[in-house]
Amino acid sequence: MIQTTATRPSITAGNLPSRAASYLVFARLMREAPSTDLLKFITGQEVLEASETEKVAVQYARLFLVPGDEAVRPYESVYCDALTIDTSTACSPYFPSSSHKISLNGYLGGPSSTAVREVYRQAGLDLAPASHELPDHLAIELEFMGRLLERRQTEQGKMFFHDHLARWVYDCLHQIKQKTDSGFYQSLTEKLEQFLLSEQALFST
Amino acid sequence: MQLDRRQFLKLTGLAGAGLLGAGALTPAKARLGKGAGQGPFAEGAWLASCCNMCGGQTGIMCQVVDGRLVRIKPNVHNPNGFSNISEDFFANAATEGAVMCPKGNAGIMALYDPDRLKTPLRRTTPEKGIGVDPGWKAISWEEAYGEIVSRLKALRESGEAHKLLWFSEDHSFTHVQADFCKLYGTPNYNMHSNLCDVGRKASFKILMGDERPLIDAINARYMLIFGWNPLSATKWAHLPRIVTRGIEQGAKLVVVDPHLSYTASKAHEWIPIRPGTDGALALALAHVILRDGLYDTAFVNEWVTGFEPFKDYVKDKTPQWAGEITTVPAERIEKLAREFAGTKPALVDVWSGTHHSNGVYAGWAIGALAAITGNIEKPGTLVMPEAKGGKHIEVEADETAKNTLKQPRLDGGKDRWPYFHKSGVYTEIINRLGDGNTPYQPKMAMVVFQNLLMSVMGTKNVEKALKTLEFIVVVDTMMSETAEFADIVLPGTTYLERYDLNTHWVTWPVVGLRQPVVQPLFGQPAESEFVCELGRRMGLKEANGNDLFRLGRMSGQNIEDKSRWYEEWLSKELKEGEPKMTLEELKNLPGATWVSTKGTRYHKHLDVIPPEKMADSIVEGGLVFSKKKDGSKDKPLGMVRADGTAVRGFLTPSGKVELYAAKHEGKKNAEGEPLKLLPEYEPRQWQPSAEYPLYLINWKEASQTHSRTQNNAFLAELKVTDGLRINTKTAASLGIRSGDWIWVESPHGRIKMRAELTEGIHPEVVGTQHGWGHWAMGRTAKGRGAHTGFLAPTQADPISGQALNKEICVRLSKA
Repeated sequence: MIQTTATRPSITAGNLPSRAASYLVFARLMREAPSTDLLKFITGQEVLEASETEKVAVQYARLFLVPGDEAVRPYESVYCDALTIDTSTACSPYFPSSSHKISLNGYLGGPSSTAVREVYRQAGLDLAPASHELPDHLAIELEFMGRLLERRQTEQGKMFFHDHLARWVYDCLHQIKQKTDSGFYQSLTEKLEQFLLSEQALFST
Repeated sequence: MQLDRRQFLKLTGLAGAGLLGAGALTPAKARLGKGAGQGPFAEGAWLASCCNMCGGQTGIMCQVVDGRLVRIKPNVHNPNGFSNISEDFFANAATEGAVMCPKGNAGIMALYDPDRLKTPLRRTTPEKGIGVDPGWKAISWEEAYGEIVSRLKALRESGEAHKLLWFSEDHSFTHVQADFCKLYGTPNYNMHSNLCDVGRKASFKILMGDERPLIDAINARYMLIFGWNPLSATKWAHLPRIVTRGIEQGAKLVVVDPHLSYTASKAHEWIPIRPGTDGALALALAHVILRDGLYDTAFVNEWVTGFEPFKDYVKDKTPQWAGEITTVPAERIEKLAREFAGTKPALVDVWSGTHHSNGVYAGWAIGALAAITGNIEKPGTLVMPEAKGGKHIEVEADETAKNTLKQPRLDGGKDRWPYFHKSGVYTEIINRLGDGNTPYQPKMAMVVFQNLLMSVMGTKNVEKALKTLEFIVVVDTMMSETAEFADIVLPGTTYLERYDLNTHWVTWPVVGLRQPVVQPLFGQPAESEFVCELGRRMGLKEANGNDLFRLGRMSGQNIEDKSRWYEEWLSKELKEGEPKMTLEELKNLPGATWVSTKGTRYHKHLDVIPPEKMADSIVEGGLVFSKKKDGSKDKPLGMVRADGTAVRGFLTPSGKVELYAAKHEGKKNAEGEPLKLLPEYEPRQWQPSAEYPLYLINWKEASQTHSRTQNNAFLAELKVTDGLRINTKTAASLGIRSGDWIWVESPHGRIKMRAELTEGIHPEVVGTQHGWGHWAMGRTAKGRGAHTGFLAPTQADPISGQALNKEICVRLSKA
């Protein structure tokens, strides 16, 4: 069982490879459900029933892939952007004739997704064609942080952390903790939150 | 299961090792230009396309900034969204501008819906049922293709290809799906239309040999609309404009409907009618018109057949007779008949009001009003559209496929349904699966953008039917109720991410291009490419050995890239079809729309058959037919007039508009009853009783399409009519107040709804907007309103196979 309180940041500013690796591990775990080997490793269990891997895969899907009471959408756009609709040209009994715009929150593919992709490209990175994911997904933003720190680009890392990740990630993690019944994803989220708080502390100095 | 802290820390040191796999980020090939993070309506590229929030295909312009769609506007170059009449379009579109409906505006929400499916999913719970959690887990595309193809192969190799059922939308990438089914060897390819308007299609086919005449509202001076809501249920976004413009120019609008629809509310007169009795009203109107000599003698004499038997039949269909049946006062019927027949040009039409067991004959009787008043093929009347677009290039199945294509369709096909439509009969398939009364038990279903559980009435029957199938694949952008019964679900694309050709529902030839304005969000293949990939993996070939799913139809070369392969497919359809141009050329036209300059043509029944066609024809009994290669009789071309000229006429057996269908003699409907020779009124089968005293109807409005768009928060915010509308007097007699929760109950089930009291519904009728009551789909859709499918049987009209979506009786009680 993980101790969730009184954990001090264990990863220091000087330990960049380790911090980068943490980002990459969290990125992997948020990107898709773990393989049996990965699951064995991170849970410290030498023997694992196939059904256990499947159980975690189902928990992952319930959280991140299908709609439902437990669903969380881990995208920056969903948390930070509003989608604006121009209704001035609609032939509808429901609109007054004057032009107006309607904004709704919680959508995919907002300006944040374009903005982070631009940051990735400025850093010489882009989404792999096989990744099938939007650029502002939590896993991709974490992976980008990992890649920057791997290259010791801490200033860029700090900027991205503040400009993007920190804007929404805590809300998202809070929602995951509230919604999921999965012990695995509860504890993963706890750990990620602690790690990001320690990162925030480092980036704030 | 929990993470182990020590192991986790160790792992971070091993991040470079194989356990994490490849990341999602890779070295960039190109950098984006400036512009990221600009306001939502910054400039960018404007791409022309066609909407598909419903089947209407309205022209749209899409503004894309940095790969993001930020705004959708009407496409003024596309008549669909402005007018269905060319004269109006050519003269006024540029200055007035086109329109879209709210669903079109809300298309961005469908594209960026957070509940969209993004990866293939496999169920881990073997049990299936409403409310059963499928226990989804993600699988790769490779795994999904692998399993689907191995199951398809196993069926085909054991001579059971016909045991694949395929269900699809009726206006999107249908050719490639139909061709796949043909080359694979299943006769069971089905489409949405039989839930929609095949009843109307049958009515007008009997009457005038054309399945879908359109209203020329803008030129009309009188509009009599039965059971249709064109100002709100906007299948085509130009409908509200042409109807209201017609009114501005002096037309009178009368709407016959049990519910005060939006159109009825804007009409000069709303005539509330008892459901299922439209046919009786139409016959009584005909009675008055014929009794008082108000009919168009010249048109009737030359172009109508069966006038005398029809006149005899309506002799006793008096306004008093109809008054008792319809609840419309006799004097009102008298007045309506005189107004309608006395105003020229006048149009009369009906759409989904015919979703009841007398529907096809009622539609025919309504059409007969147009015939006897000569309101056909003239400006301001019912006009037969010249819908010419891309050509579906015929493919021939190989011997293996031919063997299973010979198997009967599960719904019985045209042997069973005299006006069978190629879309099949969903209700019959569901019933046969459920009761096991089938020539064979299907094993697999491919369901592409069809939500059978919400769109086929008799939800419990649909559930039972789906459970009999061994393997179901659903392709959809959303986790529909039907997707929850799938073994594998694949994420589909929205209309903003894929191609299609739209031969538009205007009266003259127009082809609009739908093109991907953004890339599929999650890298998923467009449906055409998915079907292509299946075809490739199956190794399906045409009879002549052509590798249909690899061969570029323009270049004649094998093309690996499936998107390019489909572009050539579309190019060929355009080249061989009416526009005679390539896809690239269509893309470059203004608004990516090809508009024939020939324009709307009226009086097409008077078109003279060209001498060269006549030279190669067969004339028999005053009718003209084309010749097959072997010299035998092929398709009807027209008829010979009294003066000896050969003209198109109407494509019925007599070449005329038919009020008496001799072709029905000796023919039977799907229930074994003789087809009627005249548009007879018969009470619909399910009548209210002491136990279930109220009619339950449903309708459509501009805010939603079928049961497909309810997760769209923008549309949900516009207007939620998810309650049950009850006449205030009826409600008072039951002690129901506005806002009360009530049970709506039929012998098939019960649902809970909120009471909405109104004067705007017939006192014997309760009703709701169709499409609410989702128990899956997404956060916005789920839990709003109730689904009336639980209260209905699964039943089709026995003539056309039209689903009877509105034949339900219920009782109400306070919940």
